[in-house]
Amino acid sequence: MTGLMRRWLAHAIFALAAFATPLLLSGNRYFAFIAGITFFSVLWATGMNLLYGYTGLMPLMFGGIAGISAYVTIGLSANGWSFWLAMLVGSVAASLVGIVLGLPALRLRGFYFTLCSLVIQTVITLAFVYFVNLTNGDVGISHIPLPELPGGRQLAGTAYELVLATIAVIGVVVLTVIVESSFGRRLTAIREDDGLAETLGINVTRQKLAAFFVASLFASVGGALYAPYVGFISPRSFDVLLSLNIWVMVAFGGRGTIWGPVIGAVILAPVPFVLQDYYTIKDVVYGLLIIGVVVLLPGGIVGGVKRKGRADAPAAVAKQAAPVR
Amino acid sequence: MLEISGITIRYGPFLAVNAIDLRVNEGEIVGIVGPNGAGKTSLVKAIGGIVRPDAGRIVFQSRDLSDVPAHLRIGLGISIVPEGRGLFPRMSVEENLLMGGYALASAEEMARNIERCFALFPVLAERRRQAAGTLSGGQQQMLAISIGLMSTPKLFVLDEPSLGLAPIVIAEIGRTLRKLRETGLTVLLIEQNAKLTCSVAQRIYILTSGIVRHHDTADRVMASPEVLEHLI
Repeated sequence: MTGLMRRWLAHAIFALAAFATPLLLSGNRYFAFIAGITFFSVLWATGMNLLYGYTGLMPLMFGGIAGISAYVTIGLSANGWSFWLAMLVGSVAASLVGIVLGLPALRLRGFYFTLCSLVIQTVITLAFVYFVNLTNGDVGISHIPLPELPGGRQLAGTAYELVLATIAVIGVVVLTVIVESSFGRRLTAIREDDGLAETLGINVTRQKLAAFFVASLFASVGGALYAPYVGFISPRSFDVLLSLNIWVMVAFGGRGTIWGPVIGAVILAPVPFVLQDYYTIKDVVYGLLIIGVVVLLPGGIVGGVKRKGRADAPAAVAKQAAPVR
Repeated sequence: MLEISGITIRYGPFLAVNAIDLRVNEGEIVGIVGPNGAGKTSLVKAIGGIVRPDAGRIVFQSRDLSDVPAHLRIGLGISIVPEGRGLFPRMSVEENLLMGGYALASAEEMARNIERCFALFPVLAERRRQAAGTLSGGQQQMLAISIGLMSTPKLFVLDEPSLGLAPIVIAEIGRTLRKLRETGLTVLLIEQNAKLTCSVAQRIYILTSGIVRHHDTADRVMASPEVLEHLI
């Protein structure tokens, strides 16, 4: 019971911080914008955590699915749809497309799934470039109008960031509920040993599919909200680098824990803004960060802290926590 | 209960199992003994539906298993404890048992089976909240056996339960298996350890290079150790 209370206490603190940040930063649009981008990262990292942390799949088409949702939502809004309805349809559609594209990959495990998802991501990016009449190709779509609120006002500024904070908080709560449910336990069992899980009666492919759909919803809700927030999207907004950046946040913070990826996102999402004046070395810094995490903190920040806390755990368990599968 | 006829398994050009016939009657403990690479684990995987045999049939309780997918076989009553530790290392002992009973329909049966496993291996009850990966090797094997028993199986298949365990632990596994025999459970025991197998099983198949070389009662295999030595 105390564990349960402590768990939701952490959520309450996170929600408080999330809602306070845009209000505190409302005087400075630049900082508020960084906070907004960080909320996207929290949402996306949390969604990828469901797959990478709890199911043992590393989905490199994550960014592509966010992109499909963004393009569908923007396209429908441009044709007179309400943004919110368009977002709903776009998110579900993108997740369904993701499942169809992912079906062959979901039959694979570990490294082979990752490779296959990389190919799918590439195909999605190429499709964004190729279907010029739908996506405006490499030029991208700019001047994306802000979502309209009921009553005719536009969602803008601090209000937009508060919506993003809400979505991020909801995302973390949803993940927590899933992880503690029997569905979450099935996914963990698949991550630990999918052959054994199957022998024990779990339909592994179906469970992976369900996890993939839920995680894709995280990606696509974020994608739909991202487009009007930034005001400009192009195929490069949703390429493999986005997937990799989110993956780094999850691995850096600690996959397979609720708060690790949140911490990873909060620390890493602002880094590109901080390094803006040093853009030539930005990618180098990111690369070093990835290597550093894999070598020094195989369980991420939270995983590393946890392991220190229980020094009696044998090396076998520590080995299991290594991110390369 | 289990009838295997003419099972052949190939991995590319490599012939792992070559037209094996094998039969397990209800209430019986049958041992399969053979060295590394004899095709024992491939046979287990075929029974579990993880590997699709290239030829032959597996019939369980007069039902042909060839079109039954792996995750539905446990519902028919086939439970397999795989080679190595068949458990989820970063889940607690209790969660592992819950996963073992995943195919069960009733929560009552789940609770009853958990109690039975705890009675069989009291140490698991003491460590129910501990991560399975932090148990000792012997305790892990006890947990793996318990996971296999959780689904109330009709046929219990164990793949090398003695692998990597100390003699004293192997003796305990043997005692447990004899206890299970008294409850009338049908067991197929796959082992490299011929002594353990003969002490538990009624009939023994000796398997080398994917072929059944010898088939006899356990007593007679024990009585003529030169046959075993010659074959393995």
